[in-house]
Amino acid sequence: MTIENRFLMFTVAKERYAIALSAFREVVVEADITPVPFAPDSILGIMSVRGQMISVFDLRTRLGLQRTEKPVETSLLILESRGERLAMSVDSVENVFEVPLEQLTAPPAFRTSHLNFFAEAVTQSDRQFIVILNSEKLFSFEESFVTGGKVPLPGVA
Amino acid sequence: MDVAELRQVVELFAQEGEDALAQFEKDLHTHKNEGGSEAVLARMLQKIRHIKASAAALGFAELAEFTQQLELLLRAIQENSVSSSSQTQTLLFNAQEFIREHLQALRGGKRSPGKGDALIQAMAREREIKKIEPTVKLPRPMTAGDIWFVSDDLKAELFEIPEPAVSAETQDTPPPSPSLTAIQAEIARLTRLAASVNFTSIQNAAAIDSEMPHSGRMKEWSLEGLGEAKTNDEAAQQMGLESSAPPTVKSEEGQPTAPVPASEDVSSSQLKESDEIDSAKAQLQTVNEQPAETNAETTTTPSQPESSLPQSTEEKPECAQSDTPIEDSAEVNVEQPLGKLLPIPLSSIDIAQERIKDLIVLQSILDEHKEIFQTALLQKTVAQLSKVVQDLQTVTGDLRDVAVASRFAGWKECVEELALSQRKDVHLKLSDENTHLDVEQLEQLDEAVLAYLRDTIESRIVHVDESMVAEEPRRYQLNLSAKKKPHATVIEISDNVSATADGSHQLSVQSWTKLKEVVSSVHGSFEISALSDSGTAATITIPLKVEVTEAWVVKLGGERFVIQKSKVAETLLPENADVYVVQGQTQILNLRGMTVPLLSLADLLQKEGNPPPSLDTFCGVALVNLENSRQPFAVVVEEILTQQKIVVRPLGAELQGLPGLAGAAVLGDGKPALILDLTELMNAHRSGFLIRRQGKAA
Amino acid sequence: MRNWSFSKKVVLVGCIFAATLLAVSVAGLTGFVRLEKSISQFADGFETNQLISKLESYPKEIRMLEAQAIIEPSADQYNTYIKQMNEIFSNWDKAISHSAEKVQGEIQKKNIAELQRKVEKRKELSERLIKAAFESDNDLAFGRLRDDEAGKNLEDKIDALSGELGNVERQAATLLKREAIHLGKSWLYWLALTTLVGTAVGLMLSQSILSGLTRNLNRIAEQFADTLQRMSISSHEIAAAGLVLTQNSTTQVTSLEDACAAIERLVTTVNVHAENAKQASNLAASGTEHAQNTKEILDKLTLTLKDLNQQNNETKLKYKEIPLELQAIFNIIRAWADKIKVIQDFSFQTKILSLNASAEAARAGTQGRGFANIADEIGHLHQNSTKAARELSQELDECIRQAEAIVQSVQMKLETLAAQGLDKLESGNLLASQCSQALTEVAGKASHLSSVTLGMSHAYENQSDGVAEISKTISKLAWDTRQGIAGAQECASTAHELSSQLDGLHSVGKQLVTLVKGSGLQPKRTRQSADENDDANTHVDVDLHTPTTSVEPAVPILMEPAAEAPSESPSPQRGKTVFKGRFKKAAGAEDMSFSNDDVDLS
Repeated sequence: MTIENRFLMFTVAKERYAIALSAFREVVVEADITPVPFAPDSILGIMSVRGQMISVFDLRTRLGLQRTEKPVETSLLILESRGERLAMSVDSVENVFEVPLEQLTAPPAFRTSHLNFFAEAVTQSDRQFIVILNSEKLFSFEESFVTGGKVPLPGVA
Repeated sequence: MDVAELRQVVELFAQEGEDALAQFEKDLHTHKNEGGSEAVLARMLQKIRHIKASAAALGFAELAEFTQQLELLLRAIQENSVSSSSQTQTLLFNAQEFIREHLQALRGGKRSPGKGDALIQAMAREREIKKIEPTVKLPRPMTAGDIWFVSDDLKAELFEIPEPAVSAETQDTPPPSPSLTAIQAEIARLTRLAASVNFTSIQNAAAIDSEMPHSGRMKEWSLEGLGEAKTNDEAAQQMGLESSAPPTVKSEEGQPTAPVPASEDVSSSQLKESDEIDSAKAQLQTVNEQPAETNAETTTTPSQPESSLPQSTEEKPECAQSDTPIEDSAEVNVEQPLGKLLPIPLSSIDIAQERIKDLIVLQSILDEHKEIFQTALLQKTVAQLSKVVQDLQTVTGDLRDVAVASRFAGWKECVEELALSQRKDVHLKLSDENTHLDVEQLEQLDEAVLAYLRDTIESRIVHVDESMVAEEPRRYQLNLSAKKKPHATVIEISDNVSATADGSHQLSVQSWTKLKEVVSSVHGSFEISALSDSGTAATITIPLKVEVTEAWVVKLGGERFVIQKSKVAETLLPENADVYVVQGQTQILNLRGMTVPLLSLADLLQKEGNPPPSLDTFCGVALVNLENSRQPFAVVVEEILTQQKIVVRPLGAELQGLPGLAGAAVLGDGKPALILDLTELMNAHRSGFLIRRQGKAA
Repeated sequence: MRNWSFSKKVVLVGCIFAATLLAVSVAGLTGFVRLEKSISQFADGFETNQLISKLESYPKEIRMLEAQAIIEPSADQYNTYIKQMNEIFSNWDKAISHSAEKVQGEIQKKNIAELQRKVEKRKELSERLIKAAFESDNDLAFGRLRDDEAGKNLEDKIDALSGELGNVERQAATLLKREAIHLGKSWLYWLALTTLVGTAVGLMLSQSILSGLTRNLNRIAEQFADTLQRMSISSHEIAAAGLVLTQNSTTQVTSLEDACAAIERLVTTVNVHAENAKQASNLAASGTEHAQNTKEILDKLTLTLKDLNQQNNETKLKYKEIPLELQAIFNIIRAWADKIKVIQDFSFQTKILSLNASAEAARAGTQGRGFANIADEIGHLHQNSTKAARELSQELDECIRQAEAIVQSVQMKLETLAAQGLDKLESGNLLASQCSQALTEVAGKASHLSSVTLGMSHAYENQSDGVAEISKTISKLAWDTRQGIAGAQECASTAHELSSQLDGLHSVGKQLVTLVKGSGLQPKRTRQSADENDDANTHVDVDLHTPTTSVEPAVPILMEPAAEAPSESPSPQRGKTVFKGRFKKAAGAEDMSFSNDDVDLS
């Protein structure tokens, strides 16, 4: 059992997704999220986890789905990559599962370009289809990657 | 898993445990003196279980077993199956003493072996139950990931802690020359407070080490040497010496056990951070006494002999110690005996600073609930606490500062090397090398400045040389200077390389943009201007790494924003008569005869649904920003809520590059709020960023 | 007679003179005695006259006093009235007894005695009257006033007496006239005689004697005139008083008549009101009755409705108990659900913990494997508990849903069932009770009204009676007053008669005084003037020569100065005219006849 073949499963819009456990730090259930002006749409705001400011993004939006008004049970997954931390809003967090790396298969072509961008692999667990997301890509996300268009950055003189 | 992290975990466990134990002891005294009430017993039990759980989780089987027995005994007392006789009391005290010893042993202290078993047997006898063999053998070594237990109630801690601080603080009332021991005691308490808050305020408190991303930095440190010889052998020597010193089970840390006189004064319950700070102070003081002595010190590397993790050796550049701020000498006791020079791990300073930041946040919480402190004594205590925190902040902040000379020297070497290799007559002149700059900022700048210098020599001078082939070879002069200004440090790189006819600089875009990026990442500014005597000057303005600052908390449409006080010239309540409307929309404020544009913060932030302030319903407070010397302007907010000290926390990478956001701060109620940079906001507003954004949104 | 010696002659003359003197003195003495006698007779007659007037004035005074007492029965004046009354009566008594001395003859004496008795009786009456007046017993007072038969009789008596006394007076006057004529004659004789005897002696003697005589006569005449004057004034005053009394009485009558009319109107109105009130009362009574009847009916209806309602309510309560029981079950289930929620929460927390733990374990790498196992275990635990909790909660949810459905359906059914019947019943009930209430109110109000109107009607009747009584009383009073006025008028006319008589007497007296004074003060001159006026006053001669008829012309002569009298005493004259104007039928004709009679009589 290594960390590489362990994944954290969660649901967004009733679909199952997973992320490598190595990229996952913790789950936060209740947090005060302060919205940030000028932030991209997918950024819900910032939250404070033990003094550290962590940006919160909405995975639903990142996956190109409609942003719901108020999810029933929102969990924030705190991800970490190369010292950077991000909080990801998902509908609900399920469990940690283990899957041998060889059982992972390359993702098929999804309909949405967003999912195509993020999906790293797919697997089946309990006869359920799970899309494993690339955490690095979640970190280095920019809208332009998906849309292909260039979004001008603020011209700060 | 980093050794340092593991060390941190154990450290924290010891710290937590000692805290809990201290509480336990207190309760025990209460129990002994006043007869055990249910509540006291329950609290004692809770503490012991707390320690037990941690010990079990970390794999300290002996301690876990011992505490298990203690818990059983306490339960028996609680259920009245064992009368709490004086014998039992003594036993409890002994048990507590044993646990303390054990905990200290974890941090390198000594303890008498075998005592635990005797005590366990005594306790079992006391319960008239046969000694139970430890049934649970937890796998070891455990990791740091398990410390999510919830420690004592936050509030209880909050309102208990200030009281013991009184005596210590009253002792060091003259702030300029506080006695070292007092400061040490203070630091111990405050850090404990900070730690407890850190652990308790949030559920599932994760390991503290994860918050200190210093491991990466440590690597950087090792790169910084710039050709300086590493003294690995020394480090290894020291390490070996230290690792052999504590013969106990798990020496989590190669703690420098060099005799630091100050640390002897510190009570055994002193925490790790304070130890480090103490040693740092002691070191500072020695440095101050022997300013000429510049040693290349090797930091002790946390090592774990049992684990096969690779040792990471770190080097501390000499300059880190050589030019400690003179101002600090006033704050430390000069009469302390000479101690061995000790390196300060930057991580320790970071930890200390984090703690202090936590303290400041705590303080803002205290400020928020001022009405609770009804007694003058408490209020005074809180006031003193804030002062002490401020002192601490200054001290630790200064610890981070280093003289630019270290880097300057490196750059000079580089330049000379390069010039030599390129056979160019280039001379780099250094001035004001003793100017201090935050070590981290300096690090960040290092590469970019170097690239810039290299670029200057490589491309520009070559170019010039070719054009002036006919003339005699020219000696090029580069000037590098650093100047301290209030709120900022200015590094100027000027040269006498003449500009081309069209005035454009021949710098490669890459080095230029890189430098600019780096500078803006530290919130600085970068300008290049042509000098009159056919030269170029690059000015890098780096603002002070302000992490704690006084700020206004303002309200706007249900949200709160923080505006740093240093960036606001004044606040005023404008009268309708002073506000004019130009061209129907633009508003102008007549400020003592000076006309300044008046903008609504809602406008600046492009808040929808917030109508622009109209003349009829003019209300709000204007913050006049004079920082931007080009043109002052005023910003209208709904209300200024408070004025408080805030800790500036950087925003995540995702939110970098957004205009006008200087970071975030945790306010008194624990919720984050954004820190606004009005000047940048204004610039963004002017440049029409918002219009574009709106277009995009549409 | 020349032979007679001087002494003889002187003696003779002396003798003659002495004899003449003697004769003259005798004649004078006789004449004087006669004169004195006639004068005393005259004075006597005069006194009688005065007495009559007094007697006549007393009843009037008493009446006035009584009227005053009735009109102004102020307590502090009671004594004054009684005193005045007593005074009047004592005077009256005195006058009667005085007059008793004057009259002769048995019948007269008897009359006077009777008069005295009557006066006595009258006094008693007056006393009672005044007393009654002061006791505010007006009825009695008025009654007394009205029933004052005694007073009338008394007046009659007084009239009779005065007639007698008048006779006496008339006799006296005749006597006086006769005496005066006689005296005049003898005076003439003796005048001739004395003229014959000797002027000187006569002159001297008459001078000396007559001076004293005339002085005496003069005094008497003056007194007489004075008395006459005063009598005249007082008679005028009486007439005036009678007039005032009449006037007052008339005013009183007018106002009384007005009051009568007003009261009659009032009586009519009151009667109308009473009638109306009676009718209203009857109406209200009938209304009350109606309302009462309706209310009774309604009450019965309400009772019926209430019974119905109660029955319904009981059923409803029973029905309601069923949902309540269901609710209890429901609540229990809900409590379970809550507990399961706690379990779920706990489970969720466990999940989070396990996840966080596994994250940490994962980061710990191989070293964290053991711990990861635990974390996994916790995770499983969580999953199991979650599953169990979820199942339980689902079941419970189902339970709750079912229970809710049952409860709701039952409630709904019951409610619809109950609501339909109940609504109608309740509305009917409500209406009936409202109606009943309203009717009760109406009945209450009507009966109240009825009682009020009845009371009013009674009050009106009483009032009507009272008013009728008042009306009657006032009519009586008016009548009485009219009677009083008649009396007063009579009195006034009598007074007027008296007054005119007195006027006549007065002028006679005046003439007498003039005569007396004229002759008395300047007898010689009178004499001379008489002589001197002989030519002018041929009538005198004629008169003297025709003594029987001399009275006839003497009167005009004597009356002539009376023609000038009005300037001296105009008030009786004026009073007469006023009197005549006001009371033509009462006094006008009689006045003339009276004077004629008077002349005839004289």
